[in-house]
Amino acid sequence: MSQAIARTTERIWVSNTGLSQESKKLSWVMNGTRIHAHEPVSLGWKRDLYSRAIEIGQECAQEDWDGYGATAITPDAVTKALELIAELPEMIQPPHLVPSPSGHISFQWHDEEKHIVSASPKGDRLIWAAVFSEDDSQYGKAPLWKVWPEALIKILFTYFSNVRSIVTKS
Amino acid sequence: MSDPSLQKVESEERISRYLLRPKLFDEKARVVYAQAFIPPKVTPELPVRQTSVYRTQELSEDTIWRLGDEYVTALTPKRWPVLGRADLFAKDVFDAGLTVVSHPDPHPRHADIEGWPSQDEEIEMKIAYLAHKALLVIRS
Repeated sequence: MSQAIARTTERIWVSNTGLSQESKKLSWVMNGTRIHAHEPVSLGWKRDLYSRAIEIGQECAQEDWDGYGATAITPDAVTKALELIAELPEMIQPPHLVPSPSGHISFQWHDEEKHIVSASPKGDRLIWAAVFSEDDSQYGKAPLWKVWPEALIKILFTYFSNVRSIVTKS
Repeated sequence: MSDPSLQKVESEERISRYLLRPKLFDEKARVVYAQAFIPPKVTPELPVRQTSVYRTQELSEDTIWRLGDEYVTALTPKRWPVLGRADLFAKDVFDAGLTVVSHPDPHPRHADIEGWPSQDEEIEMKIAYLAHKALLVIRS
């Protein structure tokens, strides 16, 4: 008999009921610290992303934060972003974190040629899309418990890898 | 364009999405983030998902910015200033499987991008495409 082992995260520090703004900020920081505690010291870029996610949560905590009727970004949305950041492969370039008017924090990668990859945690799924040219694009979705889906990781490694290839000229 | 609200949106027509928040574009990379095009959620007052844009074909830069000041900034509760805009051709929106519908309120040049699908991943695909095609213009 197989047994699925569910991915769980401690949510002791995460609660958005009856908490002041300062308490919510503290819970984000504690959650980020807990996640970060398991990261190697060298991954400074993840620390920057944790800070940015928390900053976005603070700046976009109210309805209509974009002037076009945006949904507020909740502490739960910030937590999802923090957990996704923690699971980003080391060999990928850091993403841009973008507040979404739908109330979540999106991850976007882009380059000088405007290849664009966008990934958004929505509900219990991660949805993503990649545009390389007018005729070359992909999109998909996966359960959030799988974190970063394989198809998306493959695209990120192809276009947004941190590893520079060394070409030997003969 | 005599009365833009009466004229069908043509493929070659420029449409502009005013950007009020710095976190929705990357000035250094000259890229508009995909999330800048997300339509707000449906409400009883707005039962159709729409992304607000303006038809800016043939307008001078000064006029485009003034349009944003008077009909976007002035109408938002917090009076967020227009920081830039994302320019597209209507053709880009059509190629994404969406439509541009003239809605001349609050201005004859106001329109909405409509035809958004119900599936989140399809929406993500369309906004990523629009971001790929958009030209970021920063207000100087």
